[in-house]
Amino acid sequence: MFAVASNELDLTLGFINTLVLICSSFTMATAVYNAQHGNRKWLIFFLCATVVLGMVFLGIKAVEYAQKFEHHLVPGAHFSIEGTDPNKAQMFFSLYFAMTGLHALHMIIGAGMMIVLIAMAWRNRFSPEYHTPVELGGLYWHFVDIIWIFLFPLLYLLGRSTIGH
Amino acid sequence: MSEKIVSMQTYAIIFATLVVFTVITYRVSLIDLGVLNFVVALTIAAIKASLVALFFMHARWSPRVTQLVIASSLFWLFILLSLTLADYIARGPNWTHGLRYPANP
Repeated sequence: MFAVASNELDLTLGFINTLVLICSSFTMATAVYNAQHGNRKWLIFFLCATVVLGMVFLGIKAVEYAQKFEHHLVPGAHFSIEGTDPNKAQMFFSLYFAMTGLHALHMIIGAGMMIVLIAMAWRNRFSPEYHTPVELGGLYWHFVDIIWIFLFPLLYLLGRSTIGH
Repeated sequence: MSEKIVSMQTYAIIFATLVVFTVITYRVSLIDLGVLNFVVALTIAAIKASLVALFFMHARWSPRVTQLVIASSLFWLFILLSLTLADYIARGPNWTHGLRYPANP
């Protein structure tokens, strides 16, 4: 049932989300590169691009969550799924919401950090000699991306070949 | 700061590699390889995470101490996973009973 529950997740959206986050890591690395070279305009551009991609990720996540609510897949009083052991499926969805929810929270915090960095860059606070906040923001963003890189196969790809679409 | 500046070309190559690995993970998940599915998916995920850590996070050019901190946190995670798995294995001869799909609906 665990695997059956996993197959209820939208693989296409999850796959797109993974690509979105990998792109955002790339734009983040490029932002750090521009900070190192003192290119203020490009730094701001790529920080904005990173935030935008992060928002796209959260938007797609919101769509997925909405689908779960519609299909009665949220653990609790209204949970229902076809199959022999709905409790195992409910356990899967508890894990799904807990893990992706925490991850989404970290993305929101990361987006907040990016906005602070954009404001600082706008005020010309960074230079090739000093751009440590940008680097630290980058480390945080990549960390959240790494977490998703593991979440995606663990949550979305279980049992796809044997049961799934 | 005398730091190593990574070239855009390196970033672009790593980015392309990450995308390719993501597509591979996705395609492989649709073919039935039994327990190998799990191994392949997690191995590719580990490789992708390493690429992000080494290149995007500049771990490759970091001081040894930083690399040691990263390695030891991975080691700590490994301890967590091993001891959890040890509990499973200690459940008797049919310990894989609950792990296979779709044999156990």
